Amino acid sequence: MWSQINDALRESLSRVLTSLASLVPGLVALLLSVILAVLLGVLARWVTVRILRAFGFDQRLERWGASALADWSPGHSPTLLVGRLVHWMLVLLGAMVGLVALDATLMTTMLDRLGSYLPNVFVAVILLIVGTVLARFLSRGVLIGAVNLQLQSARLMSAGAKWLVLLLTVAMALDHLSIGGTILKLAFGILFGGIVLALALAVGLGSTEVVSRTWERQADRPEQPAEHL
Amino acid sequence: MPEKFTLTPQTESQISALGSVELAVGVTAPDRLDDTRAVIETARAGLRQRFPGARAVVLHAHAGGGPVEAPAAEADIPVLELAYRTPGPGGEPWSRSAALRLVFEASHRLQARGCALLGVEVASLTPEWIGWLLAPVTERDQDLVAPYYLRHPYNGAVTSGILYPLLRALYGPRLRYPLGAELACSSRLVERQLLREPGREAGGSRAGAQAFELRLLTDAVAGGLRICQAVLGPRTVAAGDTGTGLSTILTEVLSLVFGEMERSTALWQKIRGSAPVELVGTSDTSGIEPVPVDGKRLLNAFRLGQQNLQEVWGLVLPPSSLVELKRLARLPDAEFRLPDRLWAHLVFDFSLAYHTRVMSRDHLMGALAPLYLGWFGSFHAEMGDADPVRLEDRLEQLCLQFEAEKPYLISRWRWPDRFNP
Repeated sequence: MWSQINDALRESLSRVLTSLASLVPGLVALLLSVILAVLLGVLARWVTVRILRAFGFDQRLERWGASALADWSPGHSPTLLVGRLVHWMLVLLGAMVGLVALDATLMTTMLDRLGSYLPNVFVAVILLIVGTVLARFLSRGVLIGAVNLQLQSARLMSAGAKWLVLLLTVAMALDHLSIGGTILKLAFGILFGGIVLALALAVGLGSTEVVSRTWERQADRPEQPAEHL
Repeated sequence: MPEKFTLTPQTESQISALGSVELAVGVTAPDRLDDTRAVIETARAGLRQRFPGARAVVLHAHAGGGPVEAPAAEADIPVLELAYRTPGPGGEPWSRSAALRLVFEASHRLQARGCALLGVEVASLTPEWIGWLLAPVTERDQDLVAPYYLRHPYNGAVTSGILYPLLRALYGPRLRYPLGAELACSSRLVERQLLREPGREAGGSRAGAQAFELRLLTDAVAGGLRICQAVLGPRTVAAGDTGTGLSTILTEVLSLVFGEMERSTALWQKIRGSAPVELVGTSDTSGIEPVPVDGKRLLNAFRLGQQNLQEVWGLVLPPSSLVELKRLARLPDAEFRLPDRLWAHLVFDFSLAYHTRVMSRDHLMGALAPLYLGWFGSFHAEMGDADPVRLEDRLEQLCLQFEAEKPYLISRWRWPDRFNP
């Protein structure tokens, strides 16, 4: 009986060691592939950053009106953002090559799933970009308009407009990614409703200033007010 | 000239019937028939009074509604109706800039020696204005007669603080009211203007007409034509034409000035200094009524802008200007003085930001409004209830500072990315 147990243990040990031994070349290949990709990524990032800086990419983007991108960039520099994107894409590529070396079927399955999910990710990213630009545009417009109406709560109104659009954008993006499900919709509804209520109160309270000033102006209007033009 | 703004066959036949005239007066109005009738009658009275016996015509450009009166060929001064040819359903939208071109087109066909333009929103128009505007063209061989209104400098502070110094520094002639609605042109200037590409300003607002007036000025400067100013007296605007908000005024007027700067870069970058412009008539300021100004409100508006618009101004202005504005905002009202040099730099920097499209142009002009109110508040705090002559002297200093700082504008325009502390 002991000899049978001994044989069974030896066999299982031998199977484990054999399967481990068969994994080692794949693991080494994965490791080498990732290291190589990291090194290539660093080089590619350095080259990309140099080229974009020579081209004046940051200044051109700002002139083209895409200054919102700087806020999302490391060190407020879209050049660095592009450099890092190139770097991480190469690292991802290296990791994928390594994974194929480790197990060809695993990679195929992952790519299949990723392929069907990618359009959603693409739409979500586009939504986020458009939403961010729109939020900045609206918040600036509200801020300038409120200052010119001489409302003391200009900043609050501007921030409210910005976060309203951002929240809507994030909720739409997450919905596209099928993350959160009904909990997300419910949470968003509560949050959005709360913000609208808060804004309605803020605007309502702020408008009392406008209304009272308008009445005051009507009452105290000089006979010949100064015209601007 | 584009097809849509050409004369209708009916007008063409009326022009043929009239033959040629010596003088023309143009009136443009889309639908204000009562006001227009009064302006047309004033124009006819003015022509009869100052140029008796001269062959003259009143050109009324409108959006195709009912005519003010039927054209009467037998009348001593006929009124020629210039309606848009309106192709397609709905027709072309009313545009004052295009209507003024129609007036010029008709004046050119009629071989008029001089053509005066009148704004229908002016309540203080008198028959004498027609003579004052057209006489320098016919008697002194001037090509552009700009208006010189007897107004308090606090009235029309955008003109006093921005348009006058800026356009004078850019193009040279010292025209006190460079975008005045009432003016006169010689046939030479009319012809030059018709050779130019028409502007694209739509809508019936004053901005369309001002764009046209600005192009007349740059054309006259570029062509080396003779420019003078005619003293017209006070200018009051009809009720209902005064309610435009400051942001809208700045957006409309400065957009077209900054836009013209882009189009005429080669012209204004060559011009240095300024030249006095002959004033025809007597400028008697004794009758100018003082204008009440709420200086505290102006400065508070500036301070509110300074508190909230730092981030927006930071995209347009160099750090040194931002620091100066911050320091200014802390000063008490009585000591508040916005230096002329800083004000010139602010205006130049905003023109550059318009050119480089740093942000939406509506936002840009909105962000300039508190700075303008700050300048106006500072001007008022410094000058108080001074008489108009002293105020004009002070504006002259401001204009000279704009001219002195023009190299700054040229440098920044040429190298906008260069470091500017």
